[in-house]
Amino acid sequence: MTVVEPTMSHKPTKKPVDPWWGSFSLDVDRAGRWRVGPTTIWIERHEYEWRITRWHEGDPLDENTRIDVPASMVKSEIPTKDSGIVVTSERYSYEETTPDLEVTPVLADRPIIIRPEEALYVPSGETVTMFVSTPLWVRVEAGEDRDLLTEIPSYRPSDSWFGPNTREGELCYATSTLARLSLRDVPLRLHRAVTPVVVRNPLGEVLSVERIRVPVGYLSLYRGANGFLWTEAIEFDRVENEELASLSVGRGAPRQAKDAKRIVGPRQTHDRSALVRTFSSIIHRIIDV
Amino acid sequence: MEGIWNSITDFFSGETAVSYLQAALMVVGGLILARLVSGALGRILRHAAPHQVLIFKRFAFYIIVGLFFASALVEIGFDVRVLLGTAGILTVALGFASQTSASNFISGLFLLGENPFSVGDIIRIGTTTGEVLAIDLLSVKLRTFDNLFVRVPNEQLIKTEITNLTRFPIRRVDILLSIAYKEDMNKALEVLGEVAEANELCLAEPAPVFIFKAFGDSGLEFQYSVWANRENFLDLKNAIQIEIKEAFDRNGIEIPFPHRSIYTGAITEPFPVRVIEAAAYERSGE
Repeated sequence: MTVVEPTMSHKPTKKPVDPWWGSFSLDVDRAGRWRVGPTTIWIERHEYEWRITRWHEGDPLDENTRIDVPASMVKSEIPTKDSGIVVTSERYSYEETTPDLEVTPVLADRPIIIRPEEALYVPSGETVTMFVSTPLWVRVEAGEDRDLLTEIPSYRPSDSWFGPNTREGELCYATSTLARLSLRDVPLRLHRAVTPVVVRNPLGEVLSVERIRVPVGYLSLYRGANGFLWTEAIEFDRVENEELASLSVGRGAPRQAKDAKRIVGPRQTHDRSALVRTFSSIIHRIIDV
Repeated sequence: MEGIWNSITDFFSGETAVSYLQAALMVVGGLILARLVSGALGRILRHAAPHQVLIFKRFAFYIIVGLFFASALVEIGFDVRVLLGTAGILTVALGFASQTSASNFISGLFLLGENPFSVGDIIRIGTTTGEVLAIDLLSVKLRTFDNLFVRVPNEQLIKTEITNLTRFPIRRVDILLSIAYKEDMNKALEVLGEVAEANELCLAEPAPVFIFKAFGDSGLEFQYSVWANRENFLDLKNAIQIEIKEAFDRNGIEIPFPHRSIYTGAITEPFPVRVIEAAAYERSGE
């Protein structure tokens, strides 16, 4: 059993925290239990099927990550109906299962809109680096060919719409952030990845950062020296038009975690620099009677 | 008897048989060619809207078949000029007789040009809501959600209001609510905000909208509107109303039902009230 204790230090510790991901081997009629933030995932291997049971409980920001492989098949820990917790169970049938099981952290499957909890302004000519963390998804693969069974969010953020109006735009996830500006203040959580976001405002007016669209699909995951996860830095340069910014994704691990090793590649590829709608999603207040 | 037999053998041995055979071959050949051409058109126009492709394919099919059929008629000795002349007169007669069809046909062409919906969309016409199965020159075919087939003439579509429920990617769920006069409106709004935030399907942006409606008969009436992705509209509509009821119950916010105060007609005597003892009530067996 591995118990991961959260630490509040970004200095490289002697021993990095143990990861909850990796390759596992499960015998028939054995199970594994992954607790990743507020989500618990229970994976059972049977002769002809894999069974994945999952539920969410507790605060989405609580660090509570531990793995238990192999776990006994005693299911008393699975919440009952009376607890009010929604338990989801899925089965994946095989002609015959093999012991190989791969659990991988991946970034969200849609862009994430982050909104600073308090108004944040970038004065003219300033550059600001803020640290935002986004929840990770747990990818479960089984078999020798690593068949994708499912992807489970450690915390499912709310849906949100990002676009110039209600007719065009894209579906994203929304999450509010404290947009911490100092690395020391960033809490370390194994079920979230930290992205350094650099915003440059070369124009003559103050830029109000109401929301930032973080294109997590373009980012890779890096494991820092202390065991926690990072993504590449992303940089936004404000251009003349208030709504647009040129986006560039940094190469390799961010400056703040130089020794980090890449563990998972991006979901999508894109040209390194692009002009994107980033700060603003002008949805006019709906006038209705 | 022999006469008939002779005329049959004459028919098969003469030129008439050959021309009839040629005509038949022409019709069959025309059908095959028309089918091939319409198939090819389908492949060429695969990026266009499905119903427009369908119309193009049908047009191509009928024009080719028509031409081959006319040639076949010439082959067996019909004078097409006479036929066209007759067709002219026939058209006038038919035009009067088939005003409705013609009107539907022309409406269909306008509808295709305007393109307010396409096959697969969910539309509402009057009281009928359903999925569009086909857009044809005379009518639009719908499948309603209780699995009924509805044919709506194009003429009617041109005249009436059509609502396309699936044109835009997000939709708004409007919830009409009322709370008792004694309740704190701000508290209720806070609870509603928490409910909307907790529901994953409820979009964070556009933000939920609160609209005060009226000081109603029984309570304060207002509208709370939340946004959802088009696919999750019904799920959110059901889930959020249940969650609001639960949250109001938890926070002791009363959702009022109509109250009526009854007076005896004057501000004098109150209603006489007789109190029945619980034990006596049970004994009476009611």
